[in-house]
Amino acid sequence: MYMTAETNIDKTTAARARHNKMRMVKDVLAKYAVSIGGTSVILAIALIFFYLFFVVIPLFKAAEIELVASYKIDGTNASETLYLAMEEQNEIGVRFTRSGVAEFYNLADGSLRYREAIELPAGATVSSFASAALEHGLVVYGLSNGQAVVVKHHYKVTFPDDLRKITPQILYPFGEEPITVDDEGDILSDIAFQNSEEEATIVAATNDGRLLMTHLIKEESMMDEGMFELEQENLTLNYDASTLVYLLMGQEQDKIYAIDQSGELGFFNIRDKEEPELEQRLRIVEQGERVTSAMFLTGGISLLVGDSSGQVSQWFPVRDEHNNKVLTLIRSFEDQDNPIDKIAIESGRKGFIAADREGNVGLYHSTAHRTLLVEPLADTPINAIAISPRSSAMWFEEQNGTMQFWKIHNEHPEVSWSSLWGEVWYESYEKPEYTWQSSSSSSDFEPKYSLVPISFGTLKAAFYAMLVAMPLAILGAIYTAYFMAPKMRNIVKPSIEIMEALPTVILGFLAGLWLAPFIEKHLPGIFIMLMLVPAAIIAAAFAWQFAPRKLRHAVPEGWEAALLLPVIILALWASFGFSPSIETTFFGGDMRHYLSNELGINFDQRNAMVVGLAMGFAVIPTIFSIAEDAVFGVPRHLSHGSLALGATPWQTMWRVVLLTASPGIFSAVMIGFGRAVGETMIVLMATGNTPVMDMSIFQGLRTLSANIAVEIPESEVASTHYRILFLAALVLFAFTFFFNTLAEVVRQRLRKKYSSL
Amino acid sequence: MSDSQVKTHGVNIEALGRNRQQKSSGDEECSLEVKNLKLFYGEKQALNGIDMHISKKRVTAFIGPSGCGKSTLLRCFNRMNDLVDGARVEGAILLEGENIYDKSVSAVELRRRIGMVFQKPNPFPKSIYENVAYGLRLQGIKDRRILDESVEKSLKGSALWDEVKDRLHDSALGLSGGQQQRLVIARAIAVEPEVLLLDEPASALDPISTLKIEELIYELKNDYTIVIVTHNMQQAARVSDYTAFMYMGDMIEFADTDTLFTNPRQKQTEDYITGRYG
Repeated sequence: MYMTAETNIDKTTAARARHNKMRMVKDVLAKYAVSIGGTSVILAIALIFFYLFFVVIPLFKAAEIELVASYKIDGTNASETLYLAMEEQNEIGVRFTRSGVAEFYNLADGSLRYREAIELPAGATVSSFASAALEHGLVVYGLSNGQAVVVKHHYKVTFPDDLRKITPQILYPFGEEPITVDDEGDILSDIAFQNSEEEATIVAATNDGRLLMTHLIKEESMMDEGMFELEQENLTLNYDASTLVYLLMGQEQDKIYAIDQSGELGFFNIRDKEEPELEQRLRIVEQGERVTSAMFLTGGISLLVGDSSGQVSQWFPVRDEHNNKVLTLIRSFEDQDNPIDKIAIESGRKGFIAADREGNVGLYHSTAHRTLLVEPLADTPINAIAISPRSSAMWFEEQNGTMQFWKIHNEHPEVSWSSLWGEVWYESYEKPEYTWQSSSSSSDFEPKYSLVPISFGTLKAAFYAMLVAMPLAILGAIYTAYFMAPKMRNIVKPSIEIMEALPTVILGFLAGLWLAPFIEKHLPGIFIMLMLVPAAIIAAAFAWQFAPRKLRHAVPEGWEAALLLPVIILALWASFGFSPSIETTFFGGDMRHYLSNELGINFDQRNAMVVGLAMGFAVIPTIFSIAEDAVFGVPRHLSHGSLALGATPWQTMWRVVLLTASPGIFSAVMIGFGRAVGETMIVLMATGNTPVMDMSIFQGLRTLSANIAVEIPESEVASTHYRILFLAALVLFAFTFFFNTLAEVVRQRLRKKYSSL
Repeated sequence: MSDSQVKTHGVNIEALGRNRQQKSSGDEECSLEVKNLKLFYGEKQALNGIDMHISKKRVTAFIGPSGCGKSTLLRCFNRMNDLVDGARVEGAILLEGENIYDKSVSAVELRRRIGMVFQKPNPFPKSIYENVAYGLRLQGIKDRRILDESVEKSLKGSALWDEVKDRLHDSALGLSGGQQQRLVIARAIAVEPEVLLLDEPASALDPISTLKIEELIYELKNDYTIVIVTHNMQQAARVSDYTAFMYMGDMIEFADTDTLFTNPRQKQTEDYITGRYG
């Protein structure tokens, strides 16, 4: 019966040994190949993650500064410095002095490059000074005879011998003739000035406490293109300016802030130059504190106030419930402890530098509410501080005459946890909000990088897609796997699975260009459909129970679902057939109008409903396929066990089959959700891409994925915007990673629980 | 099965024999009556006109080689063959005089009256308690007291109570194969069926568990009519009162167990029980 040991296969022959060896080698090779394959997949995902991380990480780095040079310059002590500024290349700095001289220095070593005395009328001395909004390079001198001189520091760049040569100049864009601000000729103790293409405005306070405004309207000269003639109007504002210390004017020449030492602020609306209006008077520092510096943030909307406690506060006018603009405290920075003497603002973004009396210098960003750096840089108080137009360097003068020139590495001050995920009170907004608005046409625009609306949009789109897909896919899967005749299943299952192969761009295209207008046109029909189709299906199923037995037996078991096709088609036809008449009867002929006018519901053509239907259609195959496998995979002996106990098929399905298939169904839903979260083309084409935070089914949305697709081509490489888009990608990655991992973990746990089946 | 195992079970065979002796006398009430039952799987005929009586509170065993139709016949009793695609039944099975294949009879109700235990233990992925209470819950019984009583009674009835009474709410999947099979029997008797169909209930179990199941069958016949399909002739001889030998869809011989095993009338039966084929 059994083979004896002698007749057994001889393991010792050379051929057998060779075969055994080959077998081992193959086994080892296969083992390594599989390990390498698996590891590479993990490695690839890790690399993607690390690359995203690598691009994102500079966003969160603190600012760094680096001393380039420190020197004393000739004549520092001769005349007080009123103002420091730098040109774009960080090569030349200009110093305007109280004696009316503009001195240009090489920033690197402090050597004098050029010096020009401003032409002042005989007998007049400089009594006040102001700069216009930074990018224009315009400054104004207020004089002791009630006049003002406007000059511009300008840098002519030439390339003799192929080397860049910067030649500093002083220009007189309003002519060398001083502008008379005070007809009475009193000393101009304080001055503010702004200029635009059409007009310029000077506001000044006189020594005897009057507040004056000079409005200059530019009229293009007939003779000479580019030149203009000025039409001047002088006006006295009704305000006691005798204790005034700071006078500021918005760059739009629309408002004046007059601040006195005690912190009392007068807010004038000067939009109408003929009738300036005092809008508001308020205290802007706490009792006992004094205002030690005041400055407009880039853009001229926000006022920065430094006080004697070392706090810098940001204010801007906010419309209140009576539709009045009220100057409101937005946020304050409290990282310095000594009186803030000087504030310098960055141009092109909403950052600023505050220097305090102990020589500490702080770098801040207003929107992000972020303190990037506070460092003691000077031994004595700082007289004047300038920040370069590209915010890459600063230059300041200490009281002891030492000047320091620093490089600043501060690429991405706009980003903080609060600016990404918190409600931020953006300039001119009525309240703190979550907003994504990364760019605009204006250069002093405040970018709004809140990831909340786009994350919300992602989840909203996924939610509506799941709302459509989940019931259809899961119920379909249960029916197909459990009740449908095998032959019909063999047709239905592959057909649904092939839907997955449909390129999403086609779905998006159809959704955006066909479905969205169709829904808009047949809005009542859509709603009737949502109610009528399920109702018709249930009614048909119910009616079937009472159909003549003969008819019922004519249909083989498991093929009943096919009978629903005409029912569904009929219900659809009825829904859209009745749509116009219902629209006329109930909604005055246009439901969309009715929604927005009568109910106050905004309606976007490309809205969450369109996305829900289109993306729902895209995720149905994913969910269906996995859920169907899960239900079908429930061992027959379990369902038979239940049926044998007298359970109805429904009870068996509900109590045993679904319970056992639950891990698979759960992971199907999660994977479907992950897919909906990551889906790009459909949401890109069918959502309108409006980053609004509204759960309304009639409103559009913008998702993380669509946001990246839309904005990455237009963002400058390595800019904050670019890196934030990568951050959005990282968030998206985290989302899908989270949902897929959750799906897998739950599935593994449940599988373990049911493993002995 | 080897000779040594038969010896181990010798005591039981004697006990069963005694039992059989007592009960086989006198007219017995008929529980199920099979009348010219034919079953087709599509074109293929699997049962060729079976006629038989199943006696009340007796154990009836079906034996025969693989594919002879004994499981198919068993599944006809609770219409599990309805679930097989393309299966078609002709003839009748009368349960207490009523044809279970009549259009007015609901398969769901029938299956409550005729319970079934399968070859492979198939507890649901629920707790031990919920498995046993399953059949009652199906009928909408929610009263905790009734359920508790029924679970305890059923588990005691299937000789599992002492082993699981401290972990009723643990997953049933943590039980051993033999325990699972007894749990499934407890689940089946919890709904108090009239007939219990056992489809090779011990074939997936080790000898000790098999023994326990056999002892259990012996206990259960006091209350239930039992029909058992088995591959194992010794098992049929040990547990059953009546034995039917089936071959190729035909009922070759049906007699009381002693007669069939000791003095078969048909040659095919004799060949089978003496191990010439199968």
